[in-house]
Amino acid sequence: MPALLTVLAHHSEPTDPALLEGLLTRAEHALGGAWPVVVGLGALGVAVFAVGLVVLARRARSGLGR
Amino acid sequence: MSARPGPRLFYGWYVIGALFFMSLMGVGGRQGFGLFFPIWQERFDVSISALSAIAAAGWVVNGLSQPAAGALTDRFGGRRVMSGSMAVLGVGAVGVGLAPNPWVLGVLYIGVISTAMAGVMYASATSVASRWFRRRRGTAMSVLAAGGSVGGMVLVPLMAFLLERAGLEAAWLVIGAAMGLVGAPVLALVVRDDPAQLGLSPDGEGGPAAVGSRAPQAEGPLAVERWQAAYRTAPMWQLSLAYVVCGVTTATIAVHFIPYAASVGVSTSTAALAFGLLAFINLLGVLGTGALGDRLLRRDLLGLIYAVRGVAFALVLVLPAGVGLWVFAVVAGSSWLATVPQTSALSAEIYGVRVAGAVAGMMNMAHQLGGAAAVLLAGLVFDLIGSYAPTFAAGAILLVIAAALSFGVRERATSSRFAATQMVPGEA
Repeated sequence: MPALLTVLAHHSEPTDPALLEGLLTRAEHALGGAWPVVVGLGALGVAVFAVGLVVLARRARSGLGR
Repeated sequence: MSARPGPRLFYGWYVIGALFFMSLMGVGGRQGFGLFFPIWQERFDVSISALSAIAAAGWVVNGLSQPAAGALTDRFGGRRVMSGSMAVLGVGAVGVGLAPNPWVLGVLYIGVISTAMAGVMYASATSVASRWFRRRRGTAMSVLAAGGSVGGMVLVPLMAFLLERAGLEAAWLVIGAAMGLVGAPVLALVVRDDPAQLGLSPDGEGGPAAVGSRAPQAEGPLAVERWQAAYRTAPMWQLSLAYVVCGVTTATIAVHFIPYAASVGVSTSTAALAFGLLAFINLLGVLGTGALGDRLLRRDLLGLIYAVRGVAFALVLVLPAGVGLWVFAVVAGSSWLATVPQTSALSAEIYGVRVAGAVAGMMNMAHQLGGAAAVLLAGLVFDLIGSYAPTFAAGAILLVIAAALSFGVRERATSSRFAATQMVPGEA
């Protein structure tokens, strides 16, 4: 049982932290000084998408008379 | 005086847009959890093993919660379940950031985040999408599933950036606020459970319909009133068992990709880049196959997706390690999330949309639990013999079986797309 728990604990991450770290290090290295800008633009894109979606959906519903 | 023009875009696509956003937030937040392990390890003076055990328990709890989330969606509607779950996720994320010890962290991650995550991925979402789309169901579901791929690409780097520049608490506070204060309201404001609530028909075809709570839906000969009845028919077992193989193969790679690369002499950095390529190809694959599924027999496409993944697993065994990793990333990436829209759409077309949430929830549970068991088994095998070759060989064999199961579904005789359809009236 202890061996089973050890294996469970060592091999059960949803996504391996080492994999995430390696990928991010690669991306950060490739983008250099532009890294914060790219990340910021990604976040801004998500926020604009969310707000735009609510506004457009509301307009579409009012077009349907609902 | 001219009549007011109606909206050009079918409202179902706004609903899919909101589900895409939900998938983006959910998958991104979940994948980013591993980033914080080193900080917690130092702060709480605990081992990575203890933190991994929390993540593993969360995975299992998430799987067990899926049927309940699906059943709640069928009963109360996806809008309530998804927006409520997203709000709970937001609170849970802020709590995780402020957790004073590993016990609180464990309770919040396992009991709150993993449970609420079941409400946002994917049983509830595919159930709602099934009601809004009939002819373009595969396309719609592939767009919402693609949100998960985009989430990994956008949210994980953002979490890493916040962690590096502002610290752990700020990172979780921002993610929690985005989920609770943006994600939940977007779902509540945009999602409608059924096109009939806006006087529309599925796909926006057939002109305006009477406003009601449920639109009329085409049903095939195996349509069920209760999800338990689905288990008395062959397609439920064929699709569920194939989906278990999907969970087994994707979870094994998500967890063991780096250890596998290390075992064949490939660096972590190179393996991570190959995995990034896999994630990107996956985005193209899920969108492409989603649209194809609306034109071809879904069972053929699903079988082909499993077969392609099986080829990827087999190639790892026969190609040199360096080349094999990249070939695997390209071939397997094209099939990664592509099973989700096809399996969900096919099950909704066979068993009807009335219990689509519960049926999808049962399949998702099998997918998650199969994945957890496989991750454990692959680790055990590696610890015993020091090689991942048996894992890849077993994966290839299982994927051939999954492909055969999928090709064996009698879609023309059982799906509402092909059966002599009977329209089930909606409810006013």
